[in-house]
Amino acid sequence: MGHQPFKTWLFSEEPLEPDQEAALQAHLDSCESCRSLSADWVEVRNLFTRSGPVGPAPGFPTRWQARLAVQESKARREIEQEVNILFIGVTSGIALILLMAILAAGIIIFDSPSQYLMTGLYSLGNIINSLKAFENILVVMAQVLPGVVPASGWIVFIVLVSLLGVAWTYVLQKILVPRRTTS
Amino acid sequence: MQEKEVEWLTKAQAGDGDAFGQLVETYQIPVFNLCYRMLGNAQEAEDAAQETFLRAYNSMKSYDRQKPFSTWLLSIAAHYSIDQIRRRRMTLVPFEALPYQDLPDLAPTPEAAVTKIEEQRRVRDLLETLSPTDRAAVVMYYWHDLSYTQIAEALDLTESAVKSRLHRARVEMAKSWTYQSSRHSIQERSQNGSPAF
Repeated sequence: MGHQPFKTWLFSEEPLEPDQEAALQAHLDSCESCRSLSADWVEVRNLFTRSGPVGPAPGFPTRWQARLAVQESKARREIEQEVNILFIGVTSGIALILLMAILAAGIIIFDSPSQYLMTGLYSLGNIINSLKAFENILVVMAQVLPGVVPASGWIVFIVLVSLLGVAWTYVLQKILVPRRTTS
Repeated sequence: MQEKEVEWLTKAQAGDGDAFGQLVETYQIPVFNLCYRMLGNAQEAEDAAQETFLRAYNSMKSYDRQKPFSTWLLSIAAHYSIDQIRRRRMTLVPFEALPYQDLPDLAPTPEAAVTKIEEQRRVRDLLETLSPTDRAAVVMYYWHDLSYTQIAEALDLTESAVKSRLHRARVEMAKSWTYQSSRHSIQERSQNGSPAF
């Protein structure tokens, strides 16, 4: 005797028609394997009913918050790295373009490479002389200022510099320390 | 959907972390249960449940409010767990090789706890015989009371595919029951120091 459609009906969760129900019962009375399968399925169903849903260990939301904080901090670091890489790339690109432009201008303006080189060296000398002059100005100011600026002026200056230091530390902390997103 | 939940969902979609925290509190058991039934291990289920909520948090904006939040969440959990099972197979870790970890607060008395643990182990052994997708369909149907349509939506299947997978899974589990019952009774006799062993 065939086991279909009884096997399908046996495992169906939909309610059967009365005639289907009767036919299935008649089949089960005569078929040992289907009867055994039916009994096993009833056991499985009962086991599912008995073993209800299981929950996580206490404190799951707190552990999730901690994991979220780690993930957000990681994501922030990745964004910072990307921004840094982008900044380095853009500045390097600009520097390269400027260098190419200077080289191209030199080739157009000057008749020979030696003339180009000599002009470059002359410009470098000028820069060094300017720095030297600036250093001299600083030395003179260091000698003159203590006599000119009163003590109260120095106090105000030191206080302002200290306040700037505090503001700088606060801004750095705001940027670097991760914020809680949820309670 | 309850009024409170609608409010949390609205706020969470607007980026309110506190509101999403309330949703985690509310749905921790169904999500953990699905992951636990799928993976059969409490530690892995904890990781999977946390990952599910992280993924949901990150894609809250794409959640369609016309559909139940629980189904959307369980869909994420099921897909993640299926991926984990497939990855586990790639690294050749059999299901039985995983340590069976007891769940907290299973029962009030030690005797009841032992019975509960035994039940959970039997459920795990039964679900183990199924493919990951069939397992997800069975868990959604029997533990979460999802309809065929909701399961089909959650698992990206057609409704008829869900029905056929569930039928196949029921037959498979009924067939495994007898074999597992005899195996469990042998194990019990062995543990109790029966003279036969």
